[in-house]
Amino acid sequence: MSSIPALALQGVTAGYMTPRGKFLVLDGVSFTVQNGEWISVVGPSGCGKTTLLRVCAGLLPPWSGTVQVFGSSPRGKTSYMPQGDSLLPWRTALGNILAALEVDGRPRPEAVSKARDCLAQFGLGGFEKSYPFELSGGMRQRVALLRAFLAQRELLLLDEPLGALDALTRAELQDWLFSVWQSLRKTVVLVTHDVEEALLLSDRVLVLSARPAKVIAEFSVSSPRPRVRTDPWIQGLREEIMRSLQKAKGYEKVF
Amino acid sequence: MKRFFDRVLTIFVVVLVLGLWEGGVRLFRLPPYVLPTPSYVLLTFGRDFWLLLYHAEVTVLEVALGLGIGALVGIIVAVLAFYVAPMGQALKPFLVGSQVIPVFAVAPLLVLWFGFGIWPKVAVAAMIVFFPVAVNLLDGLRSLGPELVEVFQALGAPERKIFRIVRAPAALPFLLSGLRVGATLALVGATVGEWVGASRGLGYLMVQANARLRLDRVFAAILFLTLLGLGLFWFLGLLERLLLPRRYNLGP
Repeated sequence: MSSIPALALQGVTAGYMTPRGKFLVLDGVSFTVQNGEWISVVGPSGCGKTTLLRVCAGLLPPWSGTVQVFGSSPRGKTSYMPQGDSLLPWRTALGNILAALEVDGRPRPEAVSKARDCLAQFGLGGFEKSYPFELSGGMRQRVALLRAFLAQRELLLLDEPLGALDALTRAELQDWLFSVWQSLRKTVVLVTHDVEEALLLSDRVLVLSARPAKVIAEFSVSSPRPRVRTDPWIQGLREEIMRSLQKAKGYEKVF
Repeated sequence: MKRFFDRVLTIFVVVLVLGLWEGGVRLFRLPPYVLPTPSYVLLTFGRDFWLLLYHAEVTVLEVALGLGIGALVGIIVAVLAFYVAPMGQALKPFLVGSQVIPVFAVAPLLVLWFGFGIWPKVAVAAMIVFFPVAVNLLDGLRSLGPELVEVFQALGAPERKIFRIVRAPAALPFLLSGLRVGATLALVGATVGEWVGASRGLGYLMVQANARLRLDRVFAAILFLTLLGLGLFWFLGLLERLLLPRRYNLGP
């Protein structure tokens, strides 16, 4: 059982049909993620990171190649967090988490009390009855991330969950995200445009090329967690990834 | 303090208008069969209160039935049109048609078909309510972005659950605003239906009083209809507060 990878993509091509014809976004993407692993995906903006996650979540069928989550079709087996605000505005923080549990039927009392405990444990105590519009951007993302973790799926697909936050809140939430992951242990695929974030949090970093995207580089990060962003090795690896990102974008400058 | 001032201003304007009306009628010695004074209308309202109530009973029943039937059909049509794309296309001329055809013009036909009872008026009210409910709800269902839905699709929720958890609550404010637009017009619709042919109802009472030059009674009936309209508005506000217990922002 443990030998089955949490996520396996084999030569996946995917895209969208437009009035002007096929729009190719993913061009032969292959990689695997082991159970319990945390990988981050970086790439030039607009390269197809979101499309990649939608394919992994079973929301977009690939044109060719295969996507398997724990050895079979991904549909219904992943917890997907789209970019931007994805909370139900008419539900409280707790209500939003319970909404994800309701997919599998009426939430059991243990699950409800676990959700309550987690809200309290991870800095949202006293906010469980707050509506999204009453919460700050950082708080909303915490609720959405907790929902993803508590949705009782082993594979989490997170699309730039911290992308819209200011630098300070983002740094705070990176530590927070790590502490949540440490106690709730899931397999995570994190899409981000922040190379430092990827290096702080994940076991491996995949670099995608410009659209149509394929995996052009892969970096293993073996340093033990929690990591500190001022570590010299992070800066070194960051330079290396930036160079490959630059190559990914061709002659254009990335930053 | 500002609210207090606004209220005083509102009352002042109302009193001023009624005062001008009263004073004008008295100054020009207009007979009550041309224009009754507001005080006379109020007097008639009190004297005829039970008569007005007797007729209002039917009007209220017509509006309530029309509202219920119109809203129900509107909801069913909107949901069908949302899920079955070709049905949405096929229904389009009917949706637009029911808006542009003046329903009041159809009222005589409805009386011809359904008789003088409450049903032609119920039909007029229902037709009036149907359109804003169907169109608003369909807009509401269609305006939902894919993100919220995809969260639950990824988790494997069947469409029935997505409808319950995401789509229906997201579209509910649209439904309620459609209902609010329709409700007040439904009252007008029922009244006009009663003008065309009825044996009871506030519209019927108005026509009868008008023929006898009892303009004070016509105005009393109008006053009663106004109060009914306000009551209807209050009822829908209550419904909104019950169904949307907290006011929330629907994003940007």
